[in-house]
Amino acid sequence: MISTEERKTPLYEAHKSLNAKIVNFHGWLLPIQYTSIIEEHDATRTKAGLFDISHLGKLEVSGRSAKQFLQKIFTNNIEKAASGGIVYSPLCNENGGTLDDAFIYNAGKDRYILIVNASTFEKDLAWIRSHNTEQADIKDINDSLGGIAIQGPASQQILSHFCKAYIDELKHRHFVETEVDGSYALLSRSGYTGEDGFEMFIPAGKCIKVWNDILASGKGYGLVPAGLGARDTLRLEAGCPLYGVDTDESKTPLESGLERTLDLSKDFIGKKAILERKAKGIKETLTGFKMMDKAIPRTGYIVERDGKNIGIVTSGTYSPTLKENIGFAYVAPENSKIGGTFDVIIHGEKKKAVVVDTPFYRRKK
Amino acid sequence: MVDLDKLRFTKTHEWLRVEGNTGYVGITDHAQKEITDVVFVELPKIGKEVAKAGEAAVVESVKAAFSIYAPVSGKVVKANDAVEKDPSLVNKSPYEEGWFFAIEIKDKSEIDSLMTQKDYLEFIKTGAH
Repeated sequence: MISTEERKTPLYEAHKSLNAKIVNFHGWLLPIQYTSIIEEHDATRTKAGLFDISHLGKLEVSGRSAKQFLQKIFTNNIEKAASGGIVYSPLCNENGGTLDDAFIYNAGKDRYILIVNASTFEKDLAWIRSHNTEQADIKDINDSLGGIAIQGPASQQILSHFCKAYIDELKHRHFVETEVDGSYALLSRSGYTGEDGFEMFIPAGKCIKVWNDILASGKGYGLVPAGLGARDTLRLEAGCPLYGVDTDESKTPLESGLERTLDLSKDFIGKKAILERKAKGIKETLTGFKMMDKAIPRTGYIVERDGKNIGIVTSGTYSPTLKENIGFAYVAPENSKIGGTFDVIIHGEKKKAVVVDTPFYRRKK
Repeated sequence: MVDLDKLRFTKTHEWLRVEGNTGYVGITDHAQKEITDVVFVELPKIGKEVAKAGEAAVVESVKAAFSIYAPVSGKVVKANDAVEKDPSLVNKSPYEEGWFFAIEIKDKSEIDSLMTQKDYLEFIKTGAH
């Protein structure tokens, strides 16, 4: 997470004036918290939180061969999204290793917007360009757009004051190109928190105005600015793996619990290796657990059973919503059965944990 | 209100308040802000011998675990149960209700090696941590 590069998002000055605690996240200066991770987390679960997501990587792929090209590089079927729809898909190398995970927006007329992780943007761009034998038109739109997410039960109510489009009927994982607060916006009903909410990508120069206007207007509904700290606890409770933490190039989507995003009825890069691994059987699987003993699991902690090393924790935290300590670990499939127990080594001591179903938290509809 | 001028400070951001032969230990306001929301505190057992700069307790925030080092050597004589029950006291009241434990100080001359408030404020300002 430490990087010597320091890039500011278009919202940097807004974070500064809110007295945010700033950290370097994969080269981006971003707020980890404004007042308190727990307060920001709770506000997002019960009212609404406003997040800077400008660091996410943004690419546009277009042209007559765009679909064919995307079908080749992504494991999921791009055709699952009609115009206005969004598909989530891993991006794999020839060995089936996960290079990244992305959201592919079908903007119609052979135009697609790709939203990728900040940490992998440069790598993705190089990979995508070097595999473009279909000669699709690939455009780096990363710097032209900033991003804001509003997440939580009051999101629709707050945002509807600013939207030209009628967002009440916008379905989950669908988007519109519209105006928000007088500015162009690629606006989707989506997020990374387990709550209802919206993500919008808007011209970099308009970000501060949109951010300040939404924040001021949303205050009465309980909206607060929320940082990366809350984003991480929210996504983990919602059972969302984080690329680079819970999965990476050493894992195929089979191990990281993303088998549903593999469309084996079509060809894609990595398919052969993934099929071979599937036939042989996977050796480890991403497994949700909660602590029975009072201790907090963290990235890199060892998992044991009967004193033998059986795996490693990839994500772990205190869950502000559940008031329990939860995590993800890679263990063998036979050790991942719900209700099964193992030990996590925390500060040199064995602490008991139990395998649970994920998501850890599911919102009431 | 605690008089910060009477406290002594470590480079690892603990404070020490001396009352007779007993030293109370907590972390500074600067440290609690850096650590973010404290959600778990593991205190030493009463009677445990701790060495100056040795690990004596653990605090965990939402983000990470941090070791608390004894500012001076001695025997743990008190532990603050309240902070174990409500770890957010470390954030809300770092110099008063959020103290961790008290030590029966073995060698009072060790106190002299600790920073005064003025030194500590200078230390964190220069970012030498």
